[in-house]
Amino acid sequence: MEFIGPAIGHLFEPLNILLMVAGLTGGIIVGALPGLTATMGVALMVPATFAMDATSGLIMLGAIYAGAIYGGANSACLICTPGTPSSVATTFDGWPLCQAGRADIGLITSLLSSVFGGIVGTVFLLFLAAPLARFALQFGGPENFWLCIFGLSTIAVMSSGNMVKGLLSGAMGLLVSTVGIDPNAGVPRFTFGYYPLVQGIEVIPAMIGLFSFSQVLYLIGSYKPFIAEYRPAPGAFREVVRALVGRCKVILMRSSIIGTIVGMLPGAGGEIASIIAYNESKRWDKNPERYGKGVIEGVAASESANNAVIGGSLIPMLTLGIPGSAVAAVILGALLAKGIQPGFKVFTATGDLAYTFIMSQFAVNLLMIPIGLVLARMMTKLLSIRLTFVAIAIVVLSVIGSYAIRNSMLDVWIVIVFGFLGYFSGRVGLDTGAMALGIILGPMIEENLGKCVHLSKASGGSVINVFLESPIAILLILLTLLSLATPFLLDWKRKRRDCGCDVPQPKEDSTHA
Amino acid sequence: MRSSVADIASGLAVLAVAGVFHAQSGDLEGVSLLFPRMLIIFMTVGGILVCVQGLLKRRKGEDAPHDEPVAVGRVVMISAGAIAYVLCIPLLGFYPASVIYLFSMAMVLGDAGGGTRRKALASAAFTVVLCLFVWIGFAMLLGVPTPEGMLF
Repeated sequence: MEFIGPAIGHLFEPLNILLMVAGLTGGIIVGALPGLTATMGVALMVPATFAMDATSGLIMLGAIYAGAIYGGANSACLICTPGTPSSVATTFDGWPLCQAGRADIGLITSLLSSVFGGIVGTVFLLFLAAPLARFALQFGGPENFWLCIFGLSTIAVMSSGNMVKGLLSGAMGLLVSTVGIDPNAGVPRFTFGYYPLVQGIEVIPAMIGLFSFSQVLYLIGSYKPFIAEYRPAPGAFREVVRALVGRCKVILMRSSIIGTIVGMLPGAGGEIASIIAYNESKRWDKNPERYGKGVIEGVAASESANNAVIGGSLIPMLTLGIPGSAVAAVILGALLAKGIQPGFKVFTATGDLAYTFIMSQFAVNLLMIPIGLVLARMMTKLLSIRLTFVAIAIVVLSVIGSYAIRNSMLDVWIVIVFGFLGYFSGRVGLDTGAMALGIILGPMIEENLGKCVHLSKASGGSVINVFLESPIAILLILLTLLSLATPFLLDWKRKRRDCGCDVPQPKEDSTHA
Repeated sequence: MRSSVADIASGLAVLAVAGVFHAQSGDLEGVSLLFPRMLIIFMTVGGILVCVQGLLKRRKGEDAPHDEPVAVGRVVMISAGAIAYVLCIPLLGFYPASVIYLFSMAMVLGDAGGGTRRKALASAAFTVVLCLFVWIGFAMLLGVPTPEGMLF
């Protein structure tokens, strides 16, 4: 406690306030641009922190991180293009809201849910860092494998309209993710005689192609003069606040906890957290069929989860020196460059720095409300530009965004190929969301499956034993089965409702007898 | 597109992808092959199932068209333009290729109303503004590299 008071004091220093505002603004813009990720934004600014003291540098990096993760929601809502992979699930309801002329509702919901998720993640970081870090250490190959399978099982709920096509789309994504060097044996696979494919299919260009370039093709072919009508309604902010405080409070809390837990696990990030949170939100909703048609709940679940990941990913980084995400790894590098060794001692030996950083995350999330509102209002102007110009501009931004990831023209071609694939998939009813999920989770699933196979060989037992030996793995298996059964349960519930079986029948009026 | 045609097309696409990956998996063995093979088998079975579903729908007459009209010509033009743009980048460099792409696409896909001169002015202004935005935002402020060409 002795560090918290001075830490709050540091936050009111003019330089730190300026860095938080600049970091947030830059982060939101970077996050909103397809191809530019939170990792890239933070990494680009690390050299700038060398000229500052460690505390100010960390505050700025934390602000960029939070801003970029939220920023992805803006493009997800406005042009159906997730600015960062963690906003994929935001497109499911954010884009339909925009198409219905309610972009303001989608954007404000994203903003406030991100703030809520960010604050919950930071509360966990502040009060429960040590026990949660120990829990995260229990995740090995089998647990991570089942976590990914649980994430993948969301396809069943996502594509409940045509589950077979959803599962096939997911399988196609998984298969595509096997292109490149095999993570277990180090053998090149499926390069089709084209050597650069040894690098594999990078997730971000594939996402840009599936969601962004394919969206360009869809919009250009739609005869619409503008992306969507925009009818800003007075009182939208109040309407969203009322919805979030009222019917969405459980969703926000549950999604934020999911985001924090997933964030703690190395390798699992905002993209997995937001999809799991979206799925859980849909599963427990009384009218799950509303999801995907533009409901606040869907946006709230996705955005609160992906911003809660930030606090979660910082827990193992600060307490154990194990980064929970790529961005946390970059921040860890910045810490090490300053001569600060992460570990439990970071809270005692350099407590001033650690607690100032944690408290700055609260301040950053609160500052995000005014800054995010101003930027969101500016971004809605995009909807008043003629569609042709927006579509052509998206192609150019997709090219530069994808090239920036590995400085490789291969990634630019991946955008084009996956764009056509996404467009074709949309026309024939294959699910691009499920495909994206397969591409994201594929490498983790295969790597952990390989670990389990090696573990079973080393112990002389079978893979099944390895899969079932930990209680966490068994819990995840049960959750996966529940997730797979959900469409059938929903169908059963719907049929009961349609036939009026679960509606209490009014008593017969004796006067009409 | 009719739903039966969509089912058959998606089933065939899945089978084609599975087939291409199967053809490429010749030299693989052990743990490298395990995961892809499981997926290829799943996709083959699923692809056939979806094709059969489509055929049955057609036979039963449950075959309603389910989507909105598409301006095929515009889709083809922007697709061809995007491919030509990406092909030109290694030759011309990012900025010259972008200028040509932006201006020509804005001219081809832009609204005819207001006359050609006005459209050319709007397209030129749009090209300049976007290129400046990319140059200042990406190259100057963020230091993001852009692809270089042989000529520029």
